[in-house]
Amino acid sequence: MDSLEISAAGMRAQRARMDLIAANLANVDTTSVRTEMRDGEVRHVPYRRRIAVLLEGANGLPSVQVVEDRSEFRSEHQPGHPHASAAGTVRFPNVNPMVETMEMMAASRAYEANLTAAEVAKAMHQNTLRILG
Amino acid sequence: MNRLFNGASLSASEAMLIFASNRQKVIAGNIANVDTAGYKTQDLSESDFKRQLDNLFSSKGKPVVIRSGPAEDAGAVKPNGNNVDLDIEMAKMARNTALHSTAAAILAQQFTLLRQAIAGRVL
Repeated sequence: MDSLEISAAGMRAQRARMDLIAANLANVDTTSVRTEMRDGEVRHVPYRRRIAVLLEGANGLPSVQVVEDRSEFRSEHQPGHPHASAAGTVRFPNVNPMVETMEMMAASRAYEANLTAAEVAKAMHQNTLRILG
Repeated sequence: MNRLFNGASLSASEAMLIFASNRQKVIAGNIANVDTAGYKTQDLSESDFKRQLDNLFSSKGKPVVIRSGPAEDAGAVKPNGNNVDLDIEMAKMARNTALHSTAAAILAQQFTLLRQAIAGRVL
């Protein structure tokens, strides 16, 4: 396995993570992705936050697994909302923009580190080639 | 003639070059796995490399296979069981690059000397 490929796999994993963060932030107020029947009432199910879990895959490279955040939805009392329940409660996604921003910073930092590693590998190849004179 | 090409210093800088490029691979793997759950920081054994050099200079002993294993200077274990410290790895990478360019420069210089010896004049 080439060191450039390893760094590329790292960048791919961080980019996948960043995609999920972007999807979470874009859906921060999505109150209905589908409906379900509960107690004889149609209820709107909001967007559920998704997170990337990185696992060690083949050749020791990271592989991304997408899992749903099982924490509870945010509930707000908004009787006028089209997606409100009979009691007037609207369920909002369990996305916290602060957490996503922090995750984004971590992902971007890790991405940059992989990029630096790729650049170093490139420079080392160049150095080796320079032996030829 | 044999001593010209099979001298220990030539193979030593070659070994240094190979060690540095293999180590870059290991460091790149650590950085790629900075968020991988349960991953433990890896590194190549420096003492194996030292033994390899010793064998080269004394021209005895079996060829040494440099082992890779959990790093001694890893960071603190994070809640997900991962102990890669990005700063340690970046610093290690910088040091490793310096080692690699040193080895490459020495090797290039040795080839220049060989060329001069073959041509019989300073090139």
